[in-house]
Formats: sequence, C-alpha cells, structure tokens
Amino acid sequence: MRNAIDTSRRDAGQPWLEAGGEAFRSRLLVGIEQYESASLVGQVLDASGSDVFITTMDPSNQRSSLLLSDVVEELPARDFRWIGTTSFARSAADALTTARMLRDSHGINVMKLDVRSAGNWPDNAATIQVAETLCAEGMDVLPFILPSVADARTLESLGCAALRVMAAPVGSGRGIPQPWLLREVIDQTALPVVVEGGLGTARHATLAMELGAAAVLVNTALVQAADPVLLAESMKYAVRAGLLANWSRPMGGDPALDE
Amino acid sequence: MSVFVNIPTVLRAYTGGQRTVPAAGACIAEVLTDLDVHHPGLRERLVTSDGKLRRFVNIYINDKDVRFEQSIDSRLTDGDVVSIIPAVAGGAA
Repeated sequence: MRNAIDTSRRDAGQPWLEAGGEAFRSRLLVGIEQYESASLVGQVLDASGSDVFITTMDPSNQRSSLLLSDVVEELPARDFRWIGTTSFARSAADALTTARMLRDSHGINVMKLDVRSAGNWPDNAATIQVAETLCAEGMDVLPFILPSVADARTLESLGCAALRVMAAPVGSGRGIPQPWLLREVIDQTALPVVVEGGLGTARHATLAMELGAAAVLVNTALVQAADPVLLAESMKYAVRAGLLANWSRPMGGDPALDE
Repeated sequence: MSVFVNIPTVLRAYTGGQRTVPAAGACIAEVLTDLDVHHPGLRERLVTSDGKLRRFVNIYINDKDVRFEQSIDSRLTDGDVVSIIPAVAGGAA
C-alpha cells in the first residue's frame, strides 16, 4: 500500500511574490475594510492563514474604516507583510497622494494600487499612469485592472511586481462569469496574477487558482458572510485546493478551464 | 491661535458628525486638549497616556506631517488647518 503524498509541503519555501524585500507565501489575501470590530478582523485573519496586512489612508477624508491602532492589537501572533492600498482613491491624483503618504508616513513600499472610476470599476488608463510614476519612484506596485492583455503587458513593462485582475464587479459576489478573460491575462504575462473582485464563496477562489492565479484577494465576501471566520477558513482550503489542482494538470473537459 | 481641525470619518462620532471643528491652542498638544473639552474622548484616541502621538495616527499642519516637525509640540499660527489622517484598515474586493 502506498503512503499518502504529503502535499502540504509541496510548495514549502516557494513564495509567489517577492516585494519590498519580503517573501509573500500566503496565496489568500484578505482585505479588512468594512468591518466594525477590530476583534473580528483579528479572528478572520487568523482563520484565513493570510500573512498579508493591508492598510490605507484617506486624505480626502470621506471614507470610514477601523483605526489601525485598534486593529494591530488584535492581530494574530505571526509575521505579516504590510502593504498599502489606494482603494479609496477615485482619481490618479488621489491615488498618488495616498501612496506617497503611506510611504512617507509609514514606510510602506509595497502598494496595492487601485484607481477606481465613479462606478467603482478599475480605471485601467489612470492606473497605468499612476503605476508608471510609483514604479519610477521605486515602489513595488500591484495594480488592479479590468482583464486586458495589452494593459497587463504595459504594466509588466513598467516593472510592476504583480497584477491584480478583476473577476466580477467588486462586492458583487458573482464569482468568475468569464474565466477565459482571466486565463488569457494569466497565460500571456510573466507577472504573478492575483484574482479579485466578485469572489463570494470558496468555489470562486478554487476556480481562480485552477485558472492559474498566483493568489486571490477577498474582502466583502468575508464581511458579508453570516460567519466571516468560517468562510475565511473555507477560503484558505479552497485556495490550496485550486492551487494543487492547477499543478496537477487535470484531465480537461471542464468548459470553465478549457474554453 | 484659532485653527480648524479636519476630523476623520471614523472619529466623527466624537464631534456629532462634524467634519471640521474649530479649536484653540498655540501647538498641537494644546489643540488636542481644547478638542477634548468640547468633544470628550477624542484626545485619547489620538495620543497615548503619556502624551505621545499614537502609532499610526498622523496629524498634518496644512500639508506637513507633524512627525517630521516637533510632533505634538509643533507650533501653530492663526488660521492653520490641522488634519487628522490616521492609517486605517484597508482592502476592498
């Protein structure tokens, strides 16, 4: 009788991203906006197994989120890689201001770059514009875009650290209605691709990884679940399941993966 | 000195929802004390029990981060705009 293969160690020591002088190993990134309890944020991060901690500032002073000084007291006792985000920004100028404030005031050099339109969609052109400036200033940039091979290649040529590509409208929970659009970007760029936006449950995270994503990012899905901690743990396993399935080179025949 | 203080959304419960409030003081420390008289509880969210600016809380005089000046001892002039812009939990997807 064969012994079971220990898949838990198959990718030990292999980070999916190196940025800001640190290795990123967790392939589940958990956004922590929209929570009302710092304690719950701590529990969700703990259950998710994520090693990334996302912070931002709001120079336009219009959005509300938990104070970092409250949240850090609830963090699980493990090392986190701190990254900044410009997710409150609605213009290139706002995003640039936020990114520079996070760098200058808090020493954060890895930037989850978001420039959204009024409709909360990624604004690819404005994002490319800001990415070019931040990359030139030496930041490690992870821009969020609508699926576009041309824009992905442009961002790659600017020296971005990774790409984040939208699966479905942010906060929609619709999953991945057009998987081929993501796979095209994943297949045709050399950068690691994070899938985010619209991932509402574990199955969506698994599919993203099966498509070849390097990682997924969720936020609203966990906040809006009746039990965010339970879904955070579920997502952890879902990401792992999808990653191993992708590496296994499955038999084919599934339209979501083949078309 | 009379200044205006921009209050971040997350702390506006202390100011009855007001986004900008007036305050008086010759330096940031005095302004924070004055703010607490009119908006009790606000000061302790911004400074530690030994009177230092809390980690992750940033205060700007006009566009200058007071951490790179004299922190809460930074001096003010009449009409300055003081902005409290803390680091907050981030994400969005």
